[in-house]
Amino acid sequence: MESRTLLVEGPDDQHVMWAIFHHHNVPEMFDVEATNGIDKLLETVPVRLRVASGLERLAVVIDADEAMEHRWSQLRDSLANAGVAQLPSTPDQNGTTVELDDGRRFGAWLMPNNRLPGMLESFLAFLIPGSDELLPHVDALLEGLPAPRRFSDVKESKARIHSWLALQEDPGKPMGQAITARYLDADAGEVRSFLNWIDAALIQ
Amino acid sequence: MFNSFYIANFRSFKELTIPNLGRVNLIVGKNSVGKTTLLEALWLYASQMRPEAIHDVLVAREELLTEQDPESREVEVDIPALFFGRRFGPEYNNDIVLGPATDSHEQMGLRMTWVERTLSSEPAPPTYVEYTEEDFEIADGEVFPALKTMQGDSEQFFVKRYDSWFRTLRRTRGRSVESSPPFLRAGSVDSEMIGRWWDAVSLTESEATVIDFLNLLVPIERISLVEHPRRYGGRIFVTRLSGRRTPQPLKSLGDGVERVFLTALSLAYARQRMNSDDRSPLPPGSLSSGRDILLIDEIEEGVHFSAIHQYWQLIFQMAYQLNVQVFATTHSWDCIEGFQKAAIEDGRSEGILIRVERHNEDTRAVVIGERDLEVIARDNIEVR
Repeated sequence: MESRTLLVEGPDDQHVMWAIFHHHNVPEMFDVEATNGIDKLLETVPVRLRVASGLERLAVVIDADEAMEHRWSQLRDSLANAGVAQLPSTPDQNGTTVELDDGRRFGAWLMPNNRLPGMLESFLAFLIPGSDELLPHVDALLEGLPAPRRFSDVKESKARIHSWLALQEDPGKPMGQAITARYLDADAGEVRSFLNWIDAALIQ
Repeated sequence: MFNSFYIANFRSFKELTIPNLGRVNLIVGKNSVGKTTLLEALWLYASQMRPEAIHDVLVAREELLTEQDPESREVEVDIPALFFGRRFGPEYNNDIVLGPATDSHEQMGLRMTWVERTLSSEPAPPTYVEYTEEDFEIADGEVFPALKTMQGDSEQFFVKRYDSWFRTLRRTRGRSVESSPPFLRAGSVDSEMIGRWWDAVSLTESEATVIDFLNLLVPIERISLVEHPRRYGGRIFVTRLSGRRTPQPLKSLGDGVERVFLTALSLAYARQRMNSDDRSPLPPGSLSSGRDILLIDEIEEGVHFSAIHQYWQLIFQMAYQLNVQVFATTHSWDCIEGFQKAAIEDGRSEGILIRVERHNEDTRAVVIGERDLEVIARDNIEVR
């Protein structure tokens, strides 16, 4: 029985979570489950809250995308579907955690940091060491691309991180493995903030 | 069809409400949460709480008293075992109540009490006055233990006779045992009971439906119930497949076929017992009187996991065709998944998953409809 579950949007997010938790020895007290996109995630949340047997804690990590307010209100609507009204109207900057009527706990983190628009890849940009020499080259590359760019603006952080990963010692490592290989610094401040939220939502 | 169901003070249930029900209902939950008890409550209500039905529930659960007079060979049923907390009597507010949640007039109550019975001159029926255990001295005449059933304004008393509940409850046996809905319990099958179902279904329109559905699996032309070749007094099912000239035992076609046949037969019986001779059958899909139900405990028993989906498809179709409401229980995830798929595919009948959960003494039923079932099956959400 999964009594504590962290839901993420897809397998990339899932692998990143595992790598971060492994690096920091986070206790294995919860499952990390990947849904197939934000719509499926928003659909499964109320069903789990209504019917999942033995569920004590449920937390979600979702991309803020372009308009954070929109995603947040979608999440609130989804929770209302399960009779849950406790989610505040704006996200907590340190990640949101609420107690439900029956003692269960629900948490939500908007990637990258509950404040900015963006996604998992924008969060991972914070893990690129400050002194990194390659990043300016990647930015220059992106700057010099012919217009119109093939990817939409909201996906720029994806192009950026994957371009940077393409130039590492083992080129083209996926994001989760890049954390394990220490190309990305899992001790960065943003990660600590994220882990404090994980602790409040799923561990304590 | 029942739209909802309410239980109070029955066995391990202090109170349980199932706010909605569909045509095909699958009950899940942890071991000992009361899945079988829920089936028994439905069965008892649909049997109109007749004494023989009360007797059967107790015997099936082996609620028999062990202190017996060694001289006699009588077995005694343990009536208090029916009541929550084993509390009964008019001084407690512990009557068993069973019936639709939304219609209290249709609910039936059961109480164990003490009565003084006064016979009046023929042809008026006897009158009963109820007493609590403390009030016995007030009574003029002798006071006997009795079971009282109540529905709306009417009440009926069954007074304990022959110093034995077992005999009291059974004394009308054989007369109305057909009036209980079919209940396929877990474990071994009661061949005599199955034989009686066949007797009721044979040569009726429902038999044709059984054969039709079996033909979705194997090309069966006819089925018959004949004398057992070796067991005196026993009967076995034989069948003749299309294109063959000699019959063969139904068992020889494999467990899966036999199981499907049993289920189809029980559905047909559920329909047949409610049909009176001169009434033409209702068109498929109609909502009928409410007591034409079938109860199956551990429905996945005897069905291979690869065949579960098709098995459920057959059940949904037959239940619709014969206007029968089905209540089943399971432990198996494969069974839930097969149920979910069949429920979504079948646009005509509603399939409902009911999870029974227990927190200390309180029990709750979580009703899960088809929309949620899709997500549950897709995401493997644990519901048991």
